[in-house]
Amino acid sequence: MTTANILAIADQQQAVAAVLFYIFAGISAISALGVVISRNIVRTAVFLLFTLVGVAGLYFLLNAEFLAAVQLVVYAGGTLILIIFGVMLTSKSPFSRFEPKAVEVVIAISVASVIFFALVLAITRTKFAVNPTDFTAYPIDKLGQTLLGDFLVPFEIVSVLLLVVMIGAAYLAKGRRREAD
Amino acid sequence: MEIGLTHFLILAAFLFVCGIASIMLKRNAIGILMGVELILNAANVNLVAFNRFSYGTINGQPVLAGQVFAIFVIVLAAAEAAVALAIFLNFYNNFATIDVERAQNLKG
Amino acid sequence: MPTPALLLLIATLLPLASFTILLFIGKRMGTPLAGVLATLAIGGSFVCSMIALMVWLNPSGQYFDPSRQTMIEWGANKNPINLPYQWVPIGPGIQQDHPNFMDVGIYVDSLTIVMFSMITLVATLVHIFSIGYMREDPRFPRFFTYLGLFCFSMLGLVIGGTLLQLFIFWELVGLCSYLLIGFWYEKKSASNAAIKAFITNRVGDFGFLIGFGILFYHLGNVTLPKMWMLLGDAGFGHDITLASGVIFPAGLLTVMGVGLFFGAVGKSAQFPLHVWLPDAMEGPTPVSALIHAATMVAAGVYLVGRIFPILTPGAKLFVAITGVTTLTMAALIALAQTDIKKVLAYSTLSQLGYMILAMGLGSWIGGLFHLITHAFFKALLFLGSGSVIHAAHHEQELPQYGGLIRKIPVTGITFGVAVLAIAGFSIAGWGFSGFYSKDMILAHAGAFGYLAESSGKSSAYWLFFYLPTIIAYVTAFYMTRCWMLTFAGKPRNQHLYDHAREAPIMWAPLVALAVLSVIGGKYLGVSELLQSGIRESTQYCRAVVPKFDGFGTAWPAEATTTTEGAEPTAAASSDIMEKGHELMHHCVGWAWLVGIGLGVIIYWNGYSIAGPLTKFPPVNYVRIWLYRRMYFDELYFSVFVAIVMALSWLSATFDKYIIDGIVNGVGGLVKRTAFLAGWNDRYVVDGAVNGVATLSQELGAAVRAPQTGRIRMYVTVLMVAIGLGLAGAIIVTLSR
Repeated sequence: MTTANILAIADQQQAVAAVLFYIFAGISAISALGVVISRNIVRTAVFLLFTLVGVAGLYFLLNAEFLAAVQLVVYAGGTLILIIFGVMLTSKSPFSRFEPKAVEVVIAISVASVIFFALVLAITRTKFAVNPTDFTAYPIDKLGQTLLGDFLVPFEIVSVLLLVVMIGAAYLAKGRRREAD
Repeated sequence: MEIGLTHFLILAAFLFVCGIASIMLKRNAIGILMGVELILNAANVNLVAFNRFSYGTINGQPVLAGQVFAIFVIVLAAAEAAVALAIFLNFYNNFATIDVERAQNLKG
Repeated sequence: MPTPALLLLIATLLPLASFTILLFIGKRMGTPLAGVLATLAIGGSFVCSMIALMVWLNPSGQYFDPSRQTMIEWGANKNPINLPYQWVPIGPGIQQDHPNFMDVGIYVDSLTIVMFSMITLVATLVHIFSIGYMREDPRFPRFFTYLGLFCFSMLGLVIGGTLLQLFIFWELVGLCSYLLIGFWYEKKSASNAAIKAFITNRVGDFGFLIGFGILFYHLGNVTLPKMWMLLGDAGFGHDITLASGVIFPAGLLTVMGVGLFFGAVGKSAQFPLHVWLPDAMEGPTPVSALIHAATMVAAGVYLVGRIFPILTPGAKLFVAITGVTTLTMAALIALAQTDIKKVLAYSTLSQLGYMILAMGLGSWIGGLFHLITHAFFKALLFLGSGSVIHAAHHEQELPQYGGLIRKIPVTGITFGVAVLAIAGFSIAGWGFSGFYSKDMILAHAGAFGYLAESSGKSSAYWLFFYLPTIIAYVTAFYMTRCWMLTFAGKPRNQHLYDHAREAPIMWAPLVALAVLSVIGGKYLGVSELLQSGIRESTQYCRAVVPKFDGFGTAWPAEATTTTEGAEPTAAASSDIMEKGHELMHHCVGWAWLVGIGLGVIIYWNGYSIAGPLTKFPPVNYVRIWLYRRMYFDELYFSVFVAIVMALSWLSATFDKYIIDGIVNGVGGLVKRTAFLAGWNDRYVVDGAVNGVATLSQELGAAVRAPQTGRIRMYVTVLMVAIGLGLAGAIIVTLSR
């Protein structure tokens, strides 16, 4: 294979990656905007779902396959279901609306644009270190080793935290018993 | 143009401000929760992108600290959602609404 | 995929299909139809197994062995079919630097084929029987749903090519057992028994997990033949150096073997985890026949058969001791039980003890041969007792029966055949199925005794021969007692006797099993097929490890005389086998006649002889001790409860005297100090405090205004502040 061929293939791969990035980024960004704009809480939840899926796609592009799977399973699959349950349990009609005041909208939009502008400015003006990962070995295997090696203590603490949260959530969410009994 | 770190960071920034706007605008408590989820996702994209592009290898070994942190964030987000929803359920039981404007018992 | 493997896979999946269908539309299909569907499915499995058996015996094919990268021939006396599949990559193990896999796979050798044939056959007959037995039950479709799941799990257990798979299906059959024991969950005793079975099995499975963990740490999850190849020298009892240079110490090997065996102890209800099996008789009787006699409880023996080559002498000794303890204890308890199903349950325990003992003594063929023959006659006994119970309107107590042969003759005769089979009936070297398998075990036990003697071991090793020999007499006696009390003599409950009636649909399974119980030992070629199973596995392993002799390493290892190329035998050299067989022949040749004769004489007319006999003090106490099952349940209950009670008493005392004492003392001290401090407080401190309080009040009023309690306002203020700050930063940045 000639050098030109190899370069052509590399170009092609880059082009594919760019297209994929813009697709996933577009999905996430537009859905995130939908989360903000939508007035209907169920629709908001669906937009959030699309955002999460788009972010999962971005993880794939970033060679974080396991994380993408976790994002889909835990986030899109678990957390979002939890939220939708919350919606169902707390609204008498699923289409209940609470409109914000116009002045609040103005404040929110201006604050958000200022922050966004500031962040973009910061991002574009900073020189970040360049030290890309070369994923040729077993990334998942390595991830497991990192998780249970260097990060063992945080891992255990998180597991304890989850237990605490589980008990706490169950306690908080349990129905009120009558005190007289 | 090659897709690099900047692209991901700008997308994350956008998700972040969307989350903030959600928190400021939603009167439904669960809407606020969704805003928080957006913010956490923005942070996660940042973590993974930085890990991929500017903190990738040490001594020839791939480093995955960013991904591990992202996993922790996902776990914490799940925990936070569970507790928040439990609180909302309690709130709903007490006030018969989910509108946060009605939660004013802490008013000084 | 080679034909037999494909057929067995279909046979495994058919019950799963029936389970899935019945799970969703079983209730709509209604009472006879659901049962018919399940029966057709398992019948299909049986047909598949039979075809597989035919193909296996006349092999004509080759398959590509992925682990060896060549084509090899499969079939009886040739090679097993070993098809591993790489499932989940789990990173490098301690001995490889390439990734390790959680393998799954299919492993088919003659043992697999034999087990398949036995399981599908007994399961089919039990299905047919159940259609009659469960007809009046409102949860009829659910019963067959569970049976389908059970058959799938059991067949999956047998076809599985790795220990991991074995464990998965192992748990599944445990679940089915739990569901089916507690099938009549309205009965408190049934649901308790189900829980007891489940918990007791967990204890055993914990041991299994420990053993599997040790194995996994050293080898990863490997296929059965690879495990044998790598650890085939375990029988010699020395450390094994793995290919990577890692040393697998002999002590750890023993711990691993004992741990794995503990799984079998739980599932096969061996001492000391035997307590669940008698209680499991609360389940419907067909379940007792299928799960708690013929198949699932035998899975423990099957497991020991599969891990046989990796057991060290120490582990085998442990296995043998467990077996001999169980078989003795259970047979004695069976003497005094009055519930017909409890008698059979303890008899099952005792027979399982024989199989485990055989395994421990190195008699691989003997144990598995007995497994097959026992499945036939014990399933027959249970189905017969089911027929009796059905006829007697769910009365299970022997004292209520008597003379039933005149009312339910088919049941009585087939039950009698089973009793003869289990007692080891034989004339002039020809006998019923139990005769051949039990003789093989006892002959090997005798050979083992000579072997131990010749290598200078303590004479206590002869117990492994003499206890089972004595129990062979006892077995014949208590089975005869059971039959006589049920079918012979005068009716002791006239009302029950008058209403007893047989259901014709139950005849076919009874007769079929009776025929099998008669011919199963000699004419079905079971032991020859098992022998060929050893040959296949050994041959397969020797292609890689030329000195492999895992199935020939009998205990004690130093006396093993098998050489390369020689036919692998279960025990050692042939002259010792000869001596063992002769000794066995002298000791138990007429055991069946003595036991049965004694039983017939004593129980000729119900309790008229046995009743007064057991009234006298020493006999009396022994009878009660045995009747109460040697007080094992009470022992376990009181020990565990006593520990808990003692601990709670200890903590209560600690609380009451030490903690409370400290707290009260501190309290008193504080009270005294407080009095002094009070005066000081009132006049000195209060003045200062009041001044501060007034100040705080003023400040608070000022700060109070923005505390609206509205969370969104807080967020907005926060964000506006940040936004303002950032806006400043932007201006500064851009203006530079």
